[in-house]
Amino acid sequence: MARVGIPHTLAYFLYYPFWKTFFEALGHQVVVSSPTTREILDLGVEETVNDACIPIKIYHGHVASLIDKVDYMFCPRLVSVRLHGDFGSETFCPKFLGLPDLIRLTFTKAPPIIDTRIDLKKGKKELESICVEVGSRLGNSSQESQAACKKARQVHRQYLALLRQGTMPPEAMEILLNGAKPASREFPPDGLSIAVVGYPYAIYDPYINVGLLNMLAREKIKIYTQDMLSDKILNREARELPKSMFWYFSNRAVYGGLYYMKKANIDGIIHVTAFACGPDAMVDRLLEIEARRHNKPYLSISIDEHTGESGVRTRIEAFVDMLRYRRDKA
Amino acid sequence: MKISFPRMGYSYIALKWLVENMGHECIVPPEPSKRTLDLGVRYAPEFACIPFKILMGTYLEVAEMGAEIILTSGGRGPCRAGYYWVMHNYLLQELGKDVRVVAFELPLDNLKDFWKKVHWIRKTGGLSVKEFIRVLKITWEKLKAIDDVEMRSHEIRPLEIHRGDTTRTLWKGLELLDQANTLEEIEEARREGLKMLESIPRDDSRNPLKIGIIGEIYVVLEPAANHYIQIMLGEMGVQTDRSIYLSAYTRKNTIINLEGDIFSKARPYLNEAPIGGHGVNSIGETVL
Repeated sequence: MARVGIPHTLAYFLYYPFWKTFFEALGHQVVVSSPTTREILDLGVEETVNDACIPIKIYHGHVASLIDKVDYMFCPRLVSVRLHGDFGSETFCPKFLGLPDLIRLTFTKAPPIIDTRIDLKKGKKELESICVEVGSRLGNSSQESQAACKKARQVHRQYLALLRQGTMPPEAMEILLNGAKPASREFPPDGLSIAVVGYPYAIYDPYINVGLLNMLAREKIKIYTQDMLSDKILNREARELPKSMFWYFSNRAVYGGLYYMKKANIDGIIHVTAFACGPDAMVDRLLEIEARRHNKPYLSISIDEHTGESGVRTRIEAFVDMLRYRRDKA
Repeated sequence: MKISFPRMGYSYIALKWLVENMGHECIVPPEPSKRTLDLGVRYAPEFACIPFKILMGTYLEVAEMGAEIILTSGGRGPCRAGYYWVMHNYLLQELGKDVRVVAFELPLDNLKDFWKKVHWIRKTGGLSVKEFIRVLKITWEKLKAIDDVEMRSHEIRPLEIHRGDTTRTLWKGLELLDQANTLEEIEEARREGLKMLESIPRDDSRNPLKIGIIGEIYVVLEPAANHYIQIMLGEMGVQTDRSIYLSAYTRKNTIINLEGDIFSKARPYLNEAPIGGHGVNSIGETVL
């Protein structure tokens, strides 16, 4: 039995249930870092090369907080999570592609890193062979890994189904992994609906976006994100663009944004962007221009290590007031 | 049609010839200046990279000069450069400019699209297929000849006795190449250019330092973007070699990939290729 560390950021928000189920089915213990805190952020800022974007710094912080607690660090190289035959050719941003190398060269004292290359578009059976490879590093036979992979896939499907129903990832994980009851929420019939798009690690990490989603929830606003849409819907939006971007998470945010812009029941779009994020320089301007063309109110919130709650709150309140005013006038 | 393109080093000489001989009018992009950058910075997204901003400025300048079409290249990522043309189109539209960016994607990615665009540019210029191929071939030779002459100039510059001789001669050579219209004339201009460079009074007893220049393709290739670093170093008595030449890049990347060796050298440091912006090439060439 080994202790496998999973940092609580980046791909965690979409793929944690899968890998937790997988490792536990193999009899290993999964150690996940705590949700982002000031200490984790400071650790990350200290360790990371200077001009990395904030999510990468946070990732380093999570790794640093796990180093003494685990035997293996799970930091796969995400190349493509498009299924074989899906025709999507996008990859991840260069920083994701080089992440295992960054971690390896930054933390010389780190436990062995499981940096399996995840490139699902290569073949139909790719996920199984990835699982077998990960399992073999931990000393599991390929039969064990395949069985665990099957189980994990099932959990992942349930997880996606929960997201499609409009559950937020942290809550969906609670329901799925700890058997929590889904919380019931009442929305006033004349309440606002806002689509929040952006990277999962920016919109679902309440520390880094200073509780943006909670602020909206307290205003009784119904929140939609791109992760509540099926791949089919997102792929349909891809055809609206002259050309798709190359980065998986960026594309999801763009397609999600485009989809919600055309929905009459959505009152406004909020794009959460990370400071110094390379792809976002394009994503943000593209969404801004498209939102103007669709006549949909658009707010871009940029988050960094110095983001203050009051600053974000002021902007959110102003945005929401503007949406209410706009609706009353119509 | 009035056609322009991004400026990258001296390649504009060959591209100008290409556009003119395809039966279009060429708007030669001006050398990036302070104003180019200012324009780019004003209208480009804040966190876009410097090549994006310089190109944005260049496009706005050529739009002022009357360009209708800007030809550029696409790409398949993961570097943002492959998405430039889409964003530039969006931004130019928003600014109400009457200019369109047309990008050629890799033929391997989308053969139909590539073919359609090539066909369109040929038809609108009124060329036959045979002429078109001939024009492309000459442009290609021109591009190579320009790189050859430039490469030699970087070897000779540190040895020159009178500072500035090499740069002046290089320009003379480039002008000859600019005038050349056939394969024979290009070959002759190339030889003449190299001969002029050889005849510069120089001091062969010097043993110049050798410095390799690596980095992101645009800032390495465009002297105005890197403060003429190769000329500067050359005049300080340093021989420079750079990892990227446009003709070499196109030679390597369009049809088959000849860069496997570089990738393997970079492997111990960065175990994923390609990563964009010539990152892997930069690491690999440093090792070599």
